[in-house]
Amino acid sequence: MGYDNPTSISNGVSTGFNDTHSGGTDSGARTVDKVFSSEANLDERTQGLLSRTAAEFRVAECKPVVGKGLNKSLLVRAREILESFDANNFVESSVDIESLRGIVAHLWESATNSTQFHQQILATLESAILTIELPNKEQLSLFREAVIDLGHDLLTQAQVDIIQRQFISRGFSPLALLGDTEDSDGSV
Amino acid sequence: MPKSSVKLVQNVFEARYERGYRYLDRCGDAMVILEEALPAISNNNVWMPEEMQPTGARIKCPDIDVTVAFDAYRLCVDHNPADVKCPFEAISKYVFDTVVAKFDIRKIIRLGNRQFYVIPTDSVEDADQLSVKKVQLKDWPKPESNDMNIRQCQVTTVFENSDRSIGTQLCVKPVSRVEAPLQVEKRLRTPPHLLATGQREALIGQLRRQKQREQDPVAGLMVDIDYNWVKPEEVTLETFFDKADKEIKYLTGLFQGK
Repeated sequence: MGYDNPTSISNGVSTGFNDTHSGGTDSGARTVDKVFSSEANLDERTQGLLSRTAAEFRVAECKPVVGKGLNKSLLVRAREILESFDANNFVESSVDIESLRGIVAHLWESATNSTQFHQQILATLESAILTIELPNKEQLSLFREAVIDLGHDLLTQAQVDIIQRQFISRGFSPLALLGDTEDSDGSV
Repeated sequence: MPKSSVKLVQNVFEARYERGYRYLDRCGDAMVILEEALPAISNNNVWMPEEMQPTGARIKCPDIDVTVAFDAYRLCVDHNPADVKCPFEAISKYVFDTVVAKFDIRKIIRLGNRQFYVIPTDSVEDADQLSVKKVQLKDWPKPESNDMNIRQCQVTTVFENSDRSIGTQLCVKPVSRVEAPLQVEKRLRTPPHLLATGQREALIGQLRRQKQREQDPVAGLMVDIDYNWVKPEEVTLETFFDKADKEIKYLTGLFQGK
Protein backbone atom coordinates (compact mmCIF):
# COMPACT_ATOMS: atom_id res chain seq x y z
CA MET A 1 0.00 0.00 0.00
CA GLY A 2 2.67 2.43 1.09
CA TYR A 3 5.00 1.58 -1.73
CA ASP A 4 2.78 2.26 -4.64
CA ASN A 5 4.19 5.72 -4.19
CA PRO A 6 7.27 5.99 -2.01
CA THR A 7 8.31 9.03 -0.03
CA SER A 8 9.02 11.63 -2.65
CA ILE A 9 11.39 14.52 -2.62
CA SER A 10 10.13 18.06 -2.35
CA ASN A 11 12.13 20.12 -4.72
CA GLY A 12 13.20 17.45 -7.12
CA VAL A 13 16.86 17.87 -6.26
CA SER A 14 18.23 14.36 -6.23
CA THR A 15 21.23 12.86 -4.55
CA GLY A 16 23.20 13.58 -7.70
CA PHE A 17 24.16 10.00 -8.40
CA ASN A 18 23.37 7.89 -11.43
CA ASP A 19 22.94 4.15 -11.46
CA THR A 20 26.15 2.54 -12.65
CA HIS A 21 24.47 0.01 -14.87
CA SER A 22 25.89 0.89 -18.23
CA GLY A 23 26.51 -0.85 -21.49
CA GLY A 24 23.73 -3.34 -20.85
CA THR A 25 21.12 -4.35 -23.37
CA ASP A 26 18.29 -2.65 -21.50
CA SER A 27 17.90 1.04 -20.82
CA GLY A 28 19.29 0.64 -17.35
CA ALA A 29 21.05 3.95 -17.32
CA ARG A 30 18.13 5.69 -15.68
CA THR A 31 19.08 8.38 -13.26
CA VAL A 32 18.02 8.70 -9.67
CA ASP A 33 16.43 12.01 -10.66
CA LYS A 34 14.02 10.30 -12.98
CA VAL A 35 12.95 7.89 -10.32
CA PHE A 36 11.71 10.66 -8.09
CA SER A 37 10.87 13.84 -9.87
CA SER A 38 12.19 16.40 -12.26
CA GLU A 39 15.18 18.54 -11.50
CA ALA A 40 14.41 21.86 -9.87
CA ASN A 41 15.13 24.66 -12.28
CA LEU A 42 16.15 27.72 -10.41
CA ASP A 43 15.56 30.79 -12.50
CA GLU A 44 18.14 33.52 -12.70
CA ARG A 45 16.42 35.62 -10.11
CA THR A 46 16.42 32.83 -7.54
CA GLN A 47 20.04 32.01 -8.27
CA GLY A 48 20.85 35.65 -7.75
CA LEU A 49 19.18 35.53 -4.36
CA LEU A 50 21.05 32.41 -3.39
CA SER A 51 24.38 33.93 -4.31
CA ARG A 52 23.91 36.62 -1.68
CA THR A 53 24.93 35.87 1.85
CA ALA A 54 22.27 34.62 4.21
CA ALA A 55 22.97 37.47 6.61
CA GLU A 56 21.68 39.96 4.05
CA PHE A 57 18.23 38.47 4.46
CA ARG A 58 18.14 38.56 8.21
CA VAL A 59 14.99 40.25 9.43
CA ALA A 60 15.52 42.33 12.53
CA GLU A 61 12.09 41.82 14.04
CA CYS A 62 12.21 38.02 13.90
CA LYS A 63 12.54 37.23 17.56
CA PRO A 64 10.99 33.90 18.37
CA VAL A 65 10.81 33.11 22.03
CA VAL A 66 11.47 29.65 23.38
CA GLY A 67 9.96 28.61 26.67
CA LYS A 68 9.17 25.39 28.43
CA GLY A 69 5.70 25.52 27.01
CA LEU A 70 2.43 24.55 28.60
CA ASN A 71 1.36 21.27 30.16
CA LYS A 72 1.56 18.89 27.19
CA SER A 73 -0.79 16.24 28.54
CA LEU A 74 -3.55 18.81 29.08
CA LEU A 75 -3.03 20.09 25.55
CA VAL A 76 -3.27 16.55 24.17
CA ARG A 77 -6.51 16.04 26.10
CA ALA A 78 -7.88 19.34 24.79
CA ARG A 79 -7.03 18.32 21.26
CA GLU A 80 -8.72 14.95 21.71
CA ILE A 81 -11.89 16.63 22.96
CA LEU A 82 -11.90 19.06 20.06
CA GLU A 83 -11.38 16.33 17.50
CA SER A 84 -14.20 14.19 18.87
CA PHE A 85 -16.55 17.11 19.45
CA ASP A 86 -20.08 16.35 18.31
CA ALA A 87 -22.03 19.57 17.87
CA ASN A 88 -25.25 17.63 17.15
CA ASN A 89 -25.34 16.10 20.60
CA PHE A 90 -26.23 18.98 22.90
CA VAL A 91 -25.56 17.16 26.17
CA GLU A 92 -22.18 15.80 25.14
CA SER A 93 -21.07 19.04 23.56
CA SER A 94 -21.99 20.95 26.72
CA VAL A 95 -19.91 18.53 28.77
CA ASP A 96 -17.05 18.89 26.30
CA ILE A 97 -17.15 22.67 26.49
CA GLU A 98 -17.10 22.49 30.29
CA SER A 99 -14.12 20.13 30.11
CA LEU A 100 -12.32 22.53 27.81
CA ARG A 101 -12.99 25.39 30.22
CA GLY A 102 -11.51 23.29 33.01
CA ILE A 103 -8.46 22.39 30.94
CA VAL A 104 -7.83 25.99 29.96
CA ALA A 105 -8.08 27.05 33.60
CA HIS A 106 -5.56 24.38 34.57
CA LEU A 107 -3.24 25.37 31.73
CA TRP A 108 -2.65 28.68 33.48
CA GLU A 109 -0.84 26.74 36.22
CA SER A 110 1.92 25.83 33.75
CA ALA A 111 1.77 29.21 32.01
CA THR A 112 4.32 30.71 34.38
CA ASN A 113 7.01 28.59 32.69
CA SER A 114 5.87 29.61 29.24
CA THR A 115 6.43 32.74 27.19
CA GLN A 116 4.30 35.84 26.88
CA PHE A 117 3.20 34.58 23.45
CA HIS A 118 1.83 31.39 24.99
CA GLN A 119 0.02 33.46 27.59
CA GLN A 120 -1.47 35.77 24.97
CA ILE A 121 -2.83 32.88 22.91
CA LEU A 122 -4.08 31.13 26.04
CA ALA A 123 -5.87 34.30 27.16
CA THR A 124 -7.51 34.65 23.75
CA LEU A 125 -8.56 31.00 23.78
CA GLU A 126 -9.89 31.23 27.30
CA SER A 127 -11.86 34.35 26.52
CA ALA A 128 -13.46 32.63 23.52
CA ILE A 129 -14.25 29.39 25.35
CA LEU A 130 -15.80 31.21 28.29
CA THR A 131 -18.10 33.27 26.10
CA ILE A 132 -19.37 30.59 23.78
CA GLU A 133 -22.09 28.04 24.42
CA LEU A 134 -21.98 25.86 21.36
CA PRO A 135 -19.18 26.45 18.85
CA ASN A 136 -19.72 25.95 15.14
CA LYS A 137 -17.31 24.02 12.91
CA GLU A 138 -15.19 27.02 12.03
CA GLN A 139 -14.85 28.02 15.65
CA LEU A 140 -13.95 24.47 16.62
CA SER A 141 -11.18 24.33 14.05
CA LEU A 142 -9.93 27.65 15.38
CA PHE A 143 -9.81 26.28 18.94
CA ARG A 144 -7.89 23.30 17.60
CA GLU A 145 -5.47 25.60 15.81
CA ALA A 146 -4.88 27.55 19.02
CA VAL A 147 -4.33 24.36 21.01
CA ILE A 148 -1.79 23.07 18.46
CA ASP A 149 0.00 26.43 18.52
CA LEU A 150 0.14 26.27 22.30
CA GLY A 151 1.87 22.90 21.99
CA HIS A 152 4.95 24.54 20.47
CA ASP A 153 7.76 25.39 22.84
CA LEU A 154 8.66 28.17 20.48
CA LEU A 155 6.23 30.86 19.42
CA THR A 156 6.57 34.11 17.53
CA GLN A 157 4.65 37.37 17.51
CA ALA A 158 3.36 36.40 14.06
CA GLN A 159 1.63 33.34 15.51
CA VAL A 160 -0.08 35.46 18.15
CA ASP A 161 -1.17 38.07 15.61
CA ILE A 162 -2.47 35.44 13.21
CA ILE A 163 -4.44 33.55 15.83
CA GLN A 164 -5.93 36.74 17.29
CA ARG A 165 -6.95 37.88 13.83
CA GLN A 166 -8.59 34.51 13.24
CA PHE A 167 -10.52 34.73 16.50
CA ILE A 168 -11.84 38.17 15.62
CA SER A 169 -12.77 37.14 12.10
CA ARG A 170 -14.77 34.22 13.48
CA GLY A 171 -16.87 36.27 15.81
CA PHE A 172 -14.87 36.45 19.00
CA SER A 173 -14.33 39.92 20.30
CA PRO A 174 -11.19 40.44 22.38
CA LEU A 175 -13.37 42.34 24.86
CA ALA A 176 -16.21 39.82 24.91
CA LEU A 177 -15.64 38.92 28.54
CA LEU A 178 -16.15 42.54 29.56
CA GLY A 179 -19.55 42.60 27.85
CA ASP A 180 -21.35 41.30 30.90
CA THR A 181 -19.68 43.48 33.47
CA GLU A 182 -21.50 46.28 35.19
CA ASP A 183 -20.90 49.81 33.99
CA SER A 184 -20.10 52.53 36.48
CA ASP A 185 -23.73 53.67 36.51
CA GLY A 186 -24.86 50.21 37.57
CA SER A 187 -26.36 49.17 34.25
CA VAL A 188 -25.31 45.86 32.67
CA MET B 1 38.78 -2.17 -2.40
CA PRO B 2 39.28 0.23 0.55
CA LYS B 3 36.82 -0.09 3.45
CA SER B 4 34.37 2.76 3.89
CA SER B 5 31.57 3.41 6.31
CA VAL B 6 27.99 4.20 5.42
CA LYS B 7 27.46 7.92 4.75
CA LEU B 8 24.10 9.68 4.89
CA VAL B 9 23.63 11.75 1.75
CA GLN B 10 19.97 12.73 1.89
CA ASN B 11 17.19 12.70 4.47
CA VAL B 12 13.55 13.31 3.58
CA PHE B 13 10.43 13.57 5.70
CA GLU B 14 7.10 13.61 3.93
CA ALA B 15 3.52 13.79 5.17
CA ARG B 16 0.54 13.37 2.87
CA TYR B 17 -2.85 14.54 3.98
CA GLU B 18 -6.45 14.85 2.94
CA ARG B 19 -8.39 18.05 2.34
CA GLY B 20 -5.55 20.47 2.69
CA TYR B 21 -7.41 23.03 0.58
CA ARG B 22 -6.90 25.71 3.22
CA TYR B 23 -3.41 25.90 1.77
CA LEU B 24 -4.84 28.34 -0.73
CA ASP B 25 -6.23 30.55 2.05
CA ARG B 26 -3.43 30.39 4.55
CA CYS B 27 -0.15 29.69 2.79
CA GLY B 28 1.03 33.20 3.70
CA ASP B 29 0.31 32.66 7.40
CA ALA B 30 2.28 29.41 7.40
CA MET B 31 5.16 31.00 5.52
CA VAL B 32 5.39 33.98 7.89
CA ILE B 33 5.41 31.68 10.92
CA LEU B 34 8.02 29.35 9.45
CA GLU B 35 10.26 32.20 8.34
CA GLU B 36 10.24 33.63 11.85
CA ALA B 37 10.33 30.46 13.92
CA LEU B 38 12.60 28.07 12.01
CA PRO B 39 15.83 30.07 12.55
CA ALA B 40 15.45 29.57 16.30
CA ILE B 41 15.23 25.81 15.79
CA SER B 42 18.09 25.63 13.30
CA ASN B 43 20.88 27.45 15.17
CA ASN B 44 19.84 30.91 13.96
CA ASN B 45 20.38 30.10 10.31
CA VAL B 46 18.28 32.23 8.00
CA TRP B 47 15.40 30.72 6.07
CA MET B 48 14.42 32.22 2.73
CA PRO B 49 11.01 31.83 1.12
CA GLU B 50 11.68 30.72 -2.44
CA GLU B 51 8.32 30.21 -3.97
CA MET B 52 4.65 30.74 -3.19
CA GLN B 53 2.31 29.55 -5.89
CA PRO B 54 -1.18 28.07 -5.85
CA THR B 55 0.53 24.80 -6.72
CA GLY B 56 2.96 24.85 -3.81
CA ALA B 57 5.26 26.84 -1.58
CA ARG B 58 8.91 26.41 -0.71
CA ILE B 59 11.21 27.84 1.94
CA LYS B 60 14.89 27.02 2.13
CA CYS B 61 17.79 27.35 4.53
CA PRO B 62 20.93 27.44 2.36
CA ASP B 63 23.29 27.23 5.34
CA ILE B 64 22.13 23.76 6.33
CA ASP B 65 20.75 22.67 2.93
CA VAL B 66 17.23 22.01 4.16
CA THR B 67 14.23 22.72 1.96
CA VAL B 68 10.64 22.71 3.16
CA ALA B 69 7.91 22.42 0.56
CA PHE B 70 4.17 22.10 1.03
CA ASP B 71 0.96 22.28 -0.92
CA ALA B 72 -2.65 21.22 -0.56
CA TYR B 73 -1.76 17.53 -0.51
CA ARG B 74 1.56 17.06 1.21
CA LEU B 75 4.53 18.60 2.96
CA CYS B 76 8.12 17.64 2.56
CA VAL B 77 11.29 18.43 4.47
CA ASP B 78 14.37 17.62 2.45
CA HIS B 79 17.93 17.68 3.81
CA ASN B 80 20.15 17.38 0.75
CA PRO B 81 23.08 17.05 0.87
CA ALA B 82 23.04 15.89 4.47
CA ASP B 83 26.62 16.99 5.14
CA VAL B 84 25.86 19.73 7.64
CA LYS B 85 24.25 18.44 10.83
CA CYS B 86 20.88 19.96 11.60
CA PRO B 87 17.94 19.29 13.94
CA PHE B 88 16.02 17.58 11.17
CA GLU B 89 13.37 16.04 13.41
CA ALA B 90 12.67 19.26 15.28
CA ILE B 91 12.32 21.16 12.00
CA SER B 92 10.04 18.47 10.57
CA LYS B 93 7.87 18.46 13.66
CA TYR B 94 7.52 22.22 13.74
CA VAL B 95 6.62 22.40 10.07
CA PHE B 96 4.19 19.50 10.41
CA ASP B 97 2.39 21.02 13.42
CA THR B 98 2.21 24.42 11.75
CA VAL B 99 0.77 23.02 8.53
CA VAL B 100 -1.72 20.79 10.39
CA ALA B 101 -2.92 23.74 12.48
CA LYS B 102 -3.07 26.41 9.79
CA PHE B 103 -4.54 24.25 7.01
CA ASP B 104 -6.93 22.50 9.39
CA ILE B 105 -5.65 19.05 8.42
CA ARG B 106 -7.77 16.29 9.94
CA LYS B 107 -6.55 13.16 8.26
CA ILE B 108 -2.99 12.08 7.55
CA ILE B 109 -2.74 9.62 4.69
CA ARG B 110 0.92 8.75 4.95
CA LEU B 111 4.06 9.64 6.89
CA GLY B 112 7.42 8.74 5.42
CA ASN B 113 11.05 9.11 6.39
CA ARG B 114 13.38 8.25 3.56
CA GLN B 115 17.12 8.22 4.00
CA PHE B 116 19.73 7.71 1.32
CA TYR B 117 23.09 6.31 2.37
CA VAL B 118 26.14 5.66 0.26
CA ILE B 119 28.99 3.30 0.96
CA PRO B 120 31.63 5.21 -0.97
CA THR B 121 33.99 3.63 -3.49
CA ASP B 122 36.69 5.01 -5.74
CA SER B 123 35.28 3.86 -9.05
CA VAL B 124 32.25 2.54 -10.86
CA GLU B 125 33.77 -0.93 -10.98
CA ASP B 126 34.33 -0.93 -7.24
CA ALA B 127 30.70 0.07 -6.72
CA ASP B 128 29.55 -2.82 -8.89
CA GLN B 129 31.78 -5.27 -7.03
CA LEU B 130 30.53 -4.00 -3.70
CA SER B 131 26.93 -4.47 -4.80
CA VAL B 132 27.64 -8.12 -5.61
CA LYS B 133 29.37 -8.57 -2.28
CA LYS B 134 26.76 -6.87 -0.13
CA VAL B 135 23.62 -8.05 -1.89
CA GLN B 136 23.90 -11.69 -1.06
CA LEU B 137 21.88 -13.41 -3.73
CA LYS B 138 24.49 -16.17 -3.89
CA ASP B 139 24.35 -17.70 -7.32
CA TRP B 140 20.73 -16.97 -8.07
CA PRO B 141 19.74 -16.59 -10.81
CA LYS B 142 22.37 -18.37 -12.88
CA PRO B 143 22.86 -17.28 -16.47
CA GLU B 144 22.40 -19.89 -19.13
CA SER B 145 25.83 -19.35 -20.53
CA ASN B 146 28.71 -20.35 -18.27
CA ASP B 147 31.00 -17.59 -19.46
CA MET B 148 28.93 -14.92 -17.70
CA ASN B 149 29.22 -13.83 -14.09
CA ILE B 150 27.25 -11.49 -11.90
CA ARG B 151 28.61 -8.01 -12.51
CA GLN B 152 26.30 -5.95 -10.31
CA CYS B 153 23.20 -6.37 -8.15
CA GLN B 154 20.24 -4.13 -7.49
CA VAL B 155 17.66 -5.21 -4.99
CA THR B 156 14.45 -3.68 -3.68
CA THR B 157 12.75 -5.30 -0.72
CA VAL B 158 9.51 -4.23 0.90
CA PHE B 159 8.55 -5.13 4.46
CA GLU B 160 5.01 -4.52 5.73
CA ASN B 161 2.97 -5.48 8.74
CA SER B 162 -0.18 -7.55 8.36
CA ASP B 163 -2.59 -4.65 7.89
CA ARG B 164 -0.05 -2.82 5.72
CA SER B 165 -0.13 0.25 7.90
CA ILE B 166 3.59 0.22 8.68
CA GLY B 167 6.24 -0.54 6.13
CA THR B 168 9.82 -0.17 5.05
CA GLN B 169 11.30 -0.25 1.60
CA LEU B 170 14.94 -1.09 1.25
CA CYS B 171 16.61 -0.50 -2.08
CA VAL B 172 20.28 -1.27 -2.68
CA LYS B 173 22.03 -0.41 -5.91
CA PRO B 174 25.37 0.85 -7.18
CA VAL B 175 25.43 4.53 -8.11
CA SER B 176 27.99 6.92 -9.54
CA ARG B 177 28.43 10.49 -10.62
CA VAL B 178 29.26 11.41 -14.20
CA GLU B 179 32.83 12.25 -13.26
CA ALA B 180 33.49 8.92 -11.50
CA PRO B 181 36.35 6.89 -13.01
CA LEU B 182 35.30 3.55 -14.45
CA GLN B 183 38.08 1.81 -12.56
CA VAL B 184 41.18 2.51 -10.53
CA GLU B 185 44.37 0.80 -11.63
CA LYS B 186 45.59 -1.94 -9.34
CA ARG B 187 49.03 -0.35 -9.32
CA LEU B 188 47.57 2.79 -7.75
CA ARG B 189 46.31 0.76 -4.83
CA THR B 190 49.66 -0.77 -4.01
CA PRO B 191 50.99 0.57 -0.70
CA PRO B 192 53.36 3.42 -1.65
CA HIS B 193 56.28 2.05 0.34
CA LEU B 194 56.28 -1.08 -1.84
CA LEU B 195 56.74 0.92 -5.03
CA ALA B 196 60.17 1.17 -6.56
CA THR B 197 59.68 4.79 -7.67
CA GLY B 198 57.16 7.61 -7.23
CA GLN B 199 56.24 6.73 -3.66
CA ARG B 200 55.39 10.31 -2.76
CA GLU B 201 53.06 10.82 -5.74
CA ALA B 202 51.39 7.50 -5.05
CA LEU B 203 50.83 8.40 -1.42
CA ILE B 204 49.36 11.78 -2.35
CA GLY B 205 47.09 10.12 -4.89
CA GLN B 206 45.83 7.61 -2.34
CA LEU B 207 45.20 10.29 0.26
CA ARG B 208 43.38 12.39 -2.29
CA ARG B 209 41.09 9.50 -3.21
CA GLN B 210 40.49 8.72 0.45
CA LYS B 211 39.48 12.33 1.13
CA GLN B 212 37.20 12.32 -1.90
CA ARG B 213 35.60 9.10 -0.69
CA GLU B 214 34.95 10.50 2.77
CA GLN B 215 33.78 13.97 1.83
CA ASP B 216 32.17 13.79 -1.56
CA PRO B 217 32.05 10.26 -2.94
CA VAL B 218 31.84 9.95 -6.71
CA ALA B 219 30.61 6.37 -6.68
CA GLY B 220 29.37 3.80 -4.25
CA LEU B 221 26.62 1.50 -3.16
CA MET B 222 23.43 3.37 -2.38
CA VAL B 223 21.24 2.11 0.45
CA ASP B 224 17.86 3.78 0.18
CA ILE B 225 15.53 3.18 3.13
CA ASP B 226 11.96 4.44 3.23
CA TYR B 227 10.10 3.90 6.51
CA ASN B 228 6.44 4.83 6.48
CA TRP B 229 3.08 4.75 8.21
CA VAL B 230 -0.05 4.59 6.12
CA LYS B 231 -3.25 6.15 7.50
CA PRO B 232 -2.01 6.28 11.09
CA GLU B 233 -4.78 6.52 13.68
CA GLU B 234 -2.72 8.51 16.13
CA VAL B 235 -0.08 10.81 14.77
CA THR B 236 2.80 11.47 17.11
CA LEU B 237 5.87 12.44 15.20
CA GLU B 238 8.17 11.67 18.13
CA THR B 239 7.06 8.03 18.02
CA PHE B 240 7.25 7.97 14.25
CA PHE B 241 10.81 9.28 14.19
CA ASP B 242 11.86 6.99 17.05
CA LYS B 243 10.62 3.94 15.19
CA ALA B 244 12.00 5.14 11.85
CA ASP B 245 15.37 5.75 13.45
CA LYS B 246 15.43 2.30 15.02
CA GLU B 247 14.47 0.56 11.79
CA ILE B 248 16.87 2.56 9.64
CA LYS B 249 19.76 2.09 12.06
CA TYR B 250 19.17 -1.64 12.06
CA LEU B 251 19.09 -1.84 8.27
CA THR B 252 22.14 0.36 7.72
CA GLY B 253 23.93 -1.70 10.37
CA LEU B 254 23.67 -4.66 8.04
CA PHE B 255 25.87 -2.79 5.56
CA GLN B 256 28.46 -1.55 8.04
CA GLY B 257 31.82 -3.19 8.49
CA LYS B 258 33.19 -5.86 6.23
